[in-house]
This record gives sequence, C-alpha cells and structure tokens, in this order.
Amino acid sequence: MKKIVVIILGLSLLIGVPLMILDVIGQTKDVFTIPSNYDKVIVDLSEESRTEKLLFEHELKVPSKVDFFMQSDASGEKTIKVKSESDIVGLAYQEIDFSVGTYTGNTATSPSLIMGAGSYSVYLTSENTDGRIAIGYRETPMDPEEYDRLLKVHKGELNNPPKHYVEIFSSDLTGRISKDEVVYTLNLSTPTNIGFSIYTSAEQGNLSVDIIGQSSNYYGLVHPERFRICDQLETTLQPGKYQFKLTCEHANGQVSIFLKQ
Amino acid sequence: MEIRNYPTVAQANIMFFFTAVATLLGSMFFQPKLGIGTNLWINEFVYILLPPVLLAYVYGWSFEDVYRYKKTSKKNQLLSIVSGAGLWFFMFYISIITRMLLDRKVGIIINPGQASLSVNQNLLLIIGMIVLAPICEETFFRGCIQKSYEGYKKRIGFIITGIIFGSYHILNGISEVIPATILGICMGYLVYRTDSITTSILFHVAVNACAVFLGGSIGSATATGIPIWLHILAISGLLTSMILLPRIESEHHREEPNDEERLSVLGIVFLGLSALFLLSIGVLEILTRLNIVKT
Repeated sequence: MKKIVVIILGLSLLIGVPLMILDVIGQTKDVFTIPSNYDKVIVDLSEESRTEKLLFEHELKVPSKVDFFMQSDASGEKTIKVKSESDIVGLAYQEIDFSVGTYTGNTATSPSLIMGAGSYSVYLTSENTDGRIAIGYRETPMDPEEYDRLLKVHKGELNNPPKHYVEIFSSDLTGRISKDEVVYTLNLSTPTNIGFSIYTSAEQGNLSVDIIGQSSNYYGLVHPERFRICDQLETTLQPGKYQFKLTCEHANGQVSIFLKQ
Repeated sequence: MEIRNYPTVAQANIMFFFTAVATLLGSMFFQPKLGIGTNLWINEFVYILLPPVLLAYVYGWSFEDVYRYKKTSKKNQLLSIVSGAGLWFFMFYISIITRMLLDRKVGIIINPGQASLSVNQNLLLIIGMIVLAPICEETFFRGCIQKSYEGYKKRIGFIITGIIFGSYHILNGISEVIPATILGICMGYLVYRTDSITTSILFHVAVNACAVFLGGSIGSATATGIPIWLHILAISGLLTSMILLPRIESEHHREEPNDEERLSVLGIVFLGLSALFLLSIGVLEILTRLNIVKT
C-alpha cells in the first residue's frame, strides 16, 4: 500500500512539475497581451506612488469609440481615470474610474467608451509597488448616424433601438420599487443568437437589470451613473429559460429593454 | 518518558494549527503568483502531507501501523467509491443551499474579476483534486489526526476528526463546512471500521472526481434556484450512501490502546488557537458579505 502511494505521488510529480514549469514560462513570456492593433502605454509602478498623474492626452477629431485594454502584473490598488471634454455616451459624468486588478494573459479590464469630438485624457492613481500597468487603447471613428442614435438615448430618448431590435419591456422608474422582479422570460429550445439593448435615463437611486439563465448570467447591465446604455450585447444562448429581472428603488427616469432574436 | 507508537493529541493539534495557518498564508502568497493549480499542489505536499511524514520519520513509525496504509477487500473498495459518489450529490446540494442562504440573508461576495485558468493550471487542479488531495488529506486527517484522537476516545475519534476536517474547509468558504464535516465523519467511519486508509482515499477520490467533472455543470443549473431533479438526485445519493456504508466489512483487527490518553494543556491550547483562527476566517467572510470588508 505504501509502495503504491509512493508510486502514485511520484508519477503525479513527474507530470505536475513539467506542467508547473510550462505554466511559469507561459506567464513570463507574455505577461501583457494587448492586441497588436492597440496603441499602448506601459508604466513602471515601482518608480513612485501616483495620484491622478496624467499618462496621456489625445484629440478625437470626430465622435469615436475608444476601446481600452488594461492589465497589470502588480498587486495593490491601481485606478485609471478617463476624462473627456465632451459627453461620454451612457455615463452621467464626463469622467470614469476603472480599477485594474492583477490581470495578465487572457484577463484584462477592457471597457469601451463612446466620446464626442474633443480631447480625452487618461490618469493613473497607484501605490509605489513592484510591477507594471499596461494601458492599450484603440480609437475607431463612429458612424455619424449610429452616434446620433446613441446620443439621443444618452439624452433620455430611450426609444431609439438599433435596427431589428424590438422592445420587450419599458417602464417609468419614478416611485417604482422592484426586487428581482421578472419583467420578461425568454424560453429557448435550441442554441440561439440573441442581442440585447438595455437603456435607462435614471440619474439616481438603485437600478439593476440582470439576465439569469441556466447556462449564462448577466448581472448589473445598466447603472444610473456608470452604465446607462448597454447596447447590442450579442451572444449565443444555450437552450433553457432566461429571466430578465429588474431591481430598482428611489430611481427616476425610465428603463427600456430591446431584444433581437 | 512514555514512548508512544502513534501521534498524541497534542502533536496532532499543533500540526493542525500550523497546517491551517500555513495553508491560508501560503495560498495568499503563492496563488496570485503561481496559479490556483500549483498552489493546490504546494498545499497538499508541503503543508498537509509533509508534517505527518516528518513525524513518522522522526519517531520511526511504520506507515502501515500508524497511518493505516493497509489493503482492504475489493468489496470494501467498491462500496467506498459508490457511497462517496452518492454522498457527493447530497453534500453539493447542502453546499448550494447554504451558499444561497448566505447570499440572500447576509449578502453576496462580489468577485472583483475572475481570471480564466490556463490549460496547465486546469490539469494541475484536476490531478491535485483527484489524486493528491485524497492521499495527502487522508494521511493527515484520518491517518494522523484520527489515530491520535482514537487514543483519546476510541469510539468518537473519527467524529472529532470529521469536525476538524470540516472546520479546516472554512478556508474554502462557510458553505463548505457542513458538507466537509459530514464527509469527514463518513471517511473517518470507513477507516475506523476497516482499519485501512485505502477506503477513505477511494471515497475521497470519488467525491472530488464528482466535484471536478459534475460540479460546474450542476452548479450552473442552480443559478435560478434548485431544480427538482437535484432534490431527487441529492436524496437518492444520500440514501445510497446510507444503505452502502453500513455494509462495509470490518477486516483488520484494530489495535485497541490500553488506556485512553488524557488531553494535555498544550493540545487544548492549540485546538483553541485553531478554532479561533478558523472562526476569524468565517467572521471575515461574513464581514465581506456585509460589505464591511472589501474584497
């Protein structure tokens, strides 16, 4: 018995140690995996502690979607602030903070912001710690019609869904109190490509729209300050029941959910 | 000085305290740097298997006699595997219910970001859970700790060890404590009955294999509540185990200690320290769920 256990543990080590070595080699080879079509800025965090230190500033000639890809191999608090001269579509303010965890390899904080023409700047707040933070960014000019549509939604005209999307739920939020209230149920018998667009004009209070399914869940798709627009979230859902749940209290404005099936 | 041919309760409790602390501190240090799979291997080999192996080496104990590295019949092996697999469904069910209750009544833990695992880390995790954890944890808990507590109270040694095993799993979350305690008591019973650690290792292999291969898919089916089929599966699994476990045959002559050991002050102190340490982990989870402590 003891011999068998020793053999099993020995064999495990023979398999496991090379796996550990391969894993470490793989990690050091490509710590940051910012896509090649992104511009990037890499900052050494061990140089100093920083409080809203400007990393870079760019001018957008036309309304654009800016995709960010943020990674860091350092532990500790790291915050990236993006400030824009113009409105950031879907946000209450013209600035937003992103917390960047220890994300390397295939993990990253990767938000996309739609901003009007004008300059935007990126700031870093971090402790003095071993490691680096990498910020990748890619600017893509927006189709003017699409930008106008989203700008209308941003200004509170929610009934401006993308083509082929139909409204499945809409409600005034003032005075409404809901806790995980099922506002729509989707039953799928086969794997189906689905698109969701969820918009709100709420500026205060608690608001959350969650999609709860048997194989996929989406939580907190809109937020009064941070994400008023969740546009064209497209995915393939496995067969099963999917519930759209609304939670709101002390909110104002409206919420609308559109579906493309 | 009395020379013992098996571990004392004090030795077991000191070892357990250091293992619990080292598992937590080691995981905090190694897991972010080396990954969850490699960290599991370090935990199993270094903090869990090494202490009883060193103890046996220092005192010149035989693994066969002290840690009960003994063979058992094919029937006992089969019964251990099937009852382990059956009981897993019930334990998983208990774990889900506990987690749901904690989520609803106390609050949820917001994960700041889930890193997806590399293929290597996945393989390390699978081998670690199905091969290493059963061997290392059974040597530590049933081999060493249970043996020592059997010297204190022969008939309830496996129950005390089951509770210690369950409390150790608070490091994986409060919802794991009750299931791990019940599983620990069952595995302890197998060793108590057969005087062989083979049965508890096989039972542990079956439980962890079910967790690895079925846990994810069954877990995702519980996102909107517990489906009826899981209630049925859990009760069926429990009944299967309740029917099979008493059919385990006693094979070896168990060496009965002549007199039951008295608990030393040192043993009680370290058991208390372990309890305090593990309790504080539980309190920390509650505070995190209440959003008083940030993740």
